[in-house]
Amino acid sequence: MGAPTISQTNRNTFSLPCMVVDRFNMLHYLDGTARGLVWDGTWPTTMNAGIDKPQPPSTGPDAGGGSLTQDGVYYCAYRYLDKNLQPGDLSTFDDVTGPGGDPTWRIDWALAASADPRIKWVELWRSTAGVPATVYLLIRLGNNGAITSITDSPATPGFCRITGTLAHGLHAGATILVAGASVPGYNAVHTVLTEISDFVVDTDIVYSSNATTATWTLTGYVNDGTSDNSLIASNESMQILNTDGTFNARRFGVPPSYKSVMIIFQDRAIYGVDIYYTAGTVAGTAGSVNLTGTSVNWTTDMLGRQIIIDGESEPFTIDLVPTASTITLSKPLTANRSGASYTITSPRDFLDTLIYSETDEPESVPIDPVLGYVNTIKVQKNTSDIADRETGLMPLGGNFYSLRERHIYRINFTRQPDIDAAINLVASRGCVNNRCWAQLAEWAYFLDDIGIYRFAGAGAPQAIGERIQTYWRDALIDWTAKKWFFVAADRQLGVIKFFLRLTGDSGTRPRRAFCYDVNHDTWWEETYPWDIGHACQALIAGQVRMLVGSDNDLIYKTNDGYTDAGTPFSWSWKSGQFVFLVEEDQETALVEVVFPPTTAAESFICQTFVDQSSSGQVARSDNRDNQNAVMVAGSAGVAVDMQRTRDAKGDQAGVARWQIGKRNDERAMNGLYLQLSITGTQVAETVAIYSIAIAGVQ
Amino acid sequence: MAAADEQPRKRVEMGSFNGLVTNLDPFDVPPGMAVRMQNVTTVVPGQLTARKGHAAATFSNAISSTTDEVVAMYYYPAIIADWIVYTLDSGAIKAGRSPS
Repeated sequence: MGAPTISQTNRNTFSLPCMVVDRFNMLHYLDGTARGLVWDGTWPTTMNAGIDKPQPPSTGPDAGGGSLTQDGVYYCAYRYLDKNLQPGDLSTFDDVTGPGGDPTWRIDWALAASADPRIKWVELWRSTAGVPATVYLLIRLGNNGAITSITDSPATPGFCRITGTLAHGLHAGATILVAGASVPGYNAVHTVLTEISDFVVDTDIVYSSNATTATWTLTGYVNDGTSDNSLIASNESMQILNTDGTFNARRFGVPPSYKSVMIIFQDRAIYGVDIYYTAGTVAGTAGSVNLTGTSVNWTTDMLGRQIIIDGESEPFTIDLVPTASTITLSKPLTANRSGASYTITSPRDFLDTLIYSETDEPESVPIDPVLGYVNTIKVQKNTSDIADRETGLMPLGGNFYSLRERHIYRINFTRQPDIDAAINLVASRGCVNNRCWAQLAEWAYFLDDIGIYRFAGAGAPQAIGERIQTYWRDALIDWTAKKWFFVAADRQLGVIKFFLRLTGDSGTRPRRAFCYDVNHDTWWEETYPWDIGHACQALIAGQVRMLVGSDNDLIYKTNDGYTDAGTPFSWSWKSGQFVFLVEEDQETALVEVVFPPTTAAESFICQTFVDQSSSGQVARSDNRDNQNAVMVAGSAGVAVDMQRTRDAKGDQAGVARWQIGKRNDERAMNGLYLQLSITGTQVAETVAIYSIAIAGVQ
Repeated sequence: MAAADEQPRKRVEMGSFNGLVTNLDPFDVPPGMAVRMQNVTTVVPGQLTARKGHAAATFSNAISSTTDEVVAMYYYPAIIADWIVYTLDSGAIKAGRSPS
């Protein structure tokens, strides 16, 4: 079965997403193509990561009922907050001068409510006269909401009473724009005169008849008459800058959309891994700033990124993304371009740069209006390997690691990364992509372009894939599909699975995995009937289970049942070469396979291969005299019935024993070498082999 | 032909299985190791065990499946419920509640 969609719009899957949960239990989702998302498990849809900075308010003097008496310049700004009271950046100031002797002076605010569905609150902050370094929380108002009814106010008959949703956040002096009311006259800006309750207010609009189901949006506040002394005595304050000059009120910048990986380290979010967007081709005319794409899916968040176009000697900045297939460049093309390849990547100043959040505020990444992100760590390369882009980030122990195509850098800091971050090159092994590492116990396991290894942070990486190095050495891996490769730790089994594709594999994504048994230092291969897109661990009925995602919107539990969702799968095992004993004068050797007898009908075929033949020995005649090993003339191999009740005489032991000839052909000399394989198809019960013995070989 | 219960003098016993090794001369592959080992594991010491199968996970908020393919997934134990958040190749993000 599938599951409901939680995204407001479909994502561009050019770059596969990274998902992380912070300590506030908020899920972060980012892929580097568009602005990141967050989800808390209760919102009906995902929300934009970070909270936008509002446009500055428009403030003006009002000689109507206030008590602002101190002459000077008042600095006014506001910010948006979500339901958890997580704020965004404070807007830039708008200032107003007064009161110039007016004893009832106050400030009226006009502002823009946020259109972001995440925003629930708007906070108005104001300085005292002439002191912009500190602002005080004037009031917190609702951003917008639903209206269930508009009726005649019993308290002020002839004027509107608005009933809305609980905790509307409207207080006397708030101005709201009502829309969608059935009485046209109500679709206007109302000023809240009285807050009757948590969901009822009376306004200044004349009542004419009842109305239902409308909406309201905050437009301003006209009750800012609080004196400086009252403001200081009673209201929360906020410094614009910290004592060291760093941002405080405006530290809540939106995380970068162009970084595709995020980790949590020491309660900060670390954003890294640039994407290099190359889908499709571009075309444009010499002298024009307009670029058109074919087979592209550009996003508005690509604004400000750099684009390098084949044939152009200089990079461009993206000034505008009018549509998903058109871009406005920062300067004209120098020549006509058609079908040109291109790459869009991060702004040059932030390429290969880690950007980190404020402590405990994973969505707060300070942005200097001129310089851009200020919380940065430049990973200075100290290798000569140019093909070494960052591919992942990984926390491990007391450090985190910048994983690259061919190297690993260890990074740590104590409190302030801008001061005490330490970066060291620690390994000359890499990682294919951010999904190609997994951790189990103290080890991290990696897939890179030269094999498989593990790394514990200290010491050198340990190559663990030597026994299956064939696939790398003989170029059997389909590296054109490396985007889809991933590594998963099966905690239930203690097995690391390396999902990848070999050249010629069917489908698009991995249909096989090389599996490393951590406890026994052994390898095997698994194959699957579907593309496997990804995997994760989940707790199901208290048990850690590995799940995989596949075709047709389906998630599968692994290690569950005996078939692949009802379809039996085949299994096989093949030995190395054995040598027939030359001192044996016998023309046969004896094979014995011991297994747990099965309750269900299970079986296997055992084939023998003499003298390095790729074809199994074929029985020359029927032979049913061996112990539980049926040979049929003309067929390769012997069939073994594993079922305990295979004989009507009573329960049978799990054993098969038979003789094999040493020759491939009656005319041939006795063979020299023997290889043995066992293959079967598991149907209804776990199949196992306890032992295999071959007498007459060494 | 000798009788089935006649025992030649020497025999190779493979009572433990030590996994796949493709990167070795097949004559140097020790008994118990394999040049091909597909869908059979060593998770139980001393024996070969066919891997287990796959069963479709279900969710308490399940709806009909699409024909799109899962390309990314994440287990998200939120405060109210556990979720499997996953992305389809269409770009849609989905959330399955309380997987079982």
